[in-house]
Amino acid sequence: MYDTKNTGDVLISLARTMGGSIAESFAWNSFEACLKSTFKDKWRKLDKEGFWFNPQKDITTCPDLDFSKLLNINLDNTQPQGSKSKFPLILIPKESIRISSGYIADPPFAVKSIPDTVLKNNDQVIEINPETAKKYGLKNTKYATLTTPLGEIKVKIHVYNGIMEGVVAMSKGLGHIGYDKFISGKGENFNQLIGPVEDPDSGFDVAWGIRAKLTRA
Amino acid sequence: MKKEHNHMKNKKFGMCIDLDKCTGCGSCMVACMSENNVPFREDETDKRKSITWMKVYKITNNLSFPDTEVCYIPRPCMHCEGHDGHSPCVSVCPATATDYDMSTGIVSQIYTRCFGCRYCMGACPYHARYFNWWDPVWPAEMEKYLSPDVSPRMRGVVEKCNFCYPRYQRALDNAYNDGRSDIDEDEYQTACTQGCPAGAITFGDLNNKSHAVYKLKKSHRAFRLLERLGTNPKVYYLSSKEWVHRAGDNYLEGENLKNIKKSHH
Repeated sequence: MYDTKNTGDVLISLARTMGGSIAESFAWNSFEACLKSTFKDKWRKLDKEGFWFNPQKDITTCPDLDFSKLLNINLDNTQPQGSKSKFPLILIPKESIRISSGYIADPPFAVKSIPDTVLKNNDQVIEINPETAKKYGLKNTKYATLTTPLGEIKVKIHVYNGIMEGVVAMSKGLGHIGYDKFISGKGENFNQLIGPVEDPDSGFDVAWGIRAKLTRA
Repeated sequence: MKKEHNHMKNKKFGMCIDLDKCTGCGSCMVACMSENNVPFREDETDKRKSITWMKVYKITNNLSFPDTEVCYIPRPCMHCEGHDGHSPCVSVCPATATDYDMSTGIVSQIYTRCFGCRYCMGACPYHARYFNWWDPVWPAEMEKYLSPDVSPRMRGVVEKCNFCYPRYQRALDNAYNDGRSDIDEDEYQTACTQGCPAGAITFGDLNNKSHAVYKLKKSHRAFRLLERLGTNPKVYYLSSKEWVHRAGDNYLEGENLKNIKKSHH
């Protein structure tokens, strides 16, 4: 229907056009020929079953992908933003399968499927461990103020023993200001409470959680 | 009447829901609402007033982190057979607005007969019935999406899951037009079954040996909700977790589970 080519075939034809040593490095006639000659005897199994694996291979010593280096990464190097003394808790995002956390918001039927332990009226509900609730004098279904170095919102408490002590979980995908009355103004936007920190191992910005505190409202 | 009560020769539609497969995504709820013209309001967070023919509950094993286990339980109407069709809701309805169909095993809800006394809601141990506190209103641009075969319900009446009965009627019509007297298993499937991305819901005739539900209901993982009440529900659940089985029938502390299980089957 369309005049298209596989990415591999595009690269091979580009290399051929460029000529010289690059063309020699991409000497195959097609991407399929490349795969066949690269995988050799594994190709038949791949073609027939769709996968191939080597059960004898220890992936931690694989020369191409040295996973042992990953094991040496000190996760403590990446600290969430904020001081531990001022913000004793850690706020993390909770991806919910019933809430679209991307640009497109939940349609009305999906909003209806959100439990009242996540959204109650227009209030954002957050999850904490019973021990955390006891420590900070917070009660189930009652209001609290959630503060991070970057923002402050009013939330309702849901006490749940499935979450780690000292952690506050808040759903992503709520707090829209656009769209219609069925989604707009419901809950709070998680992104307004967090910021990126630099991962010392990769140098990239990472954003996952932030230090936070909860006070009775 | 006696002849009509011979359920074994008739169809007995039912469901097997594999809780080991259910991810709690809520697709079944959405598929159900879309298929059955279930309305929505601006605020649906008061769950006692929020109409969900199919509702996914979340239960846990009550252990603290990190030993917490979660199980999601999708709950349609159980279409209780009770004894000879005496399901709890049918027995209490003073308007004959809900009845037990011996030819299908489906518990119906006839909206035009219902006058909203809500006895059935009180009688149903599964919270499967919902009252229309308001007339349904859809955004104007959404009216075209409504299912033409499914009548919307007015303020003041009770509604619930009917195993997508209009789909059964349509399948029968199609079979009749083709000169057939019966339908195949895949010709009548509920919206929640088809909407489940995990394939956790299986629907079919519990009396038909060639249907998948016939085998699944006999699985050692199978149980039914609040089975000890004698409601004889037609929705079976499958779980490999003992704590889920116990939670599903509200077993008491210290009860001998092995003996109880024996009395079920």
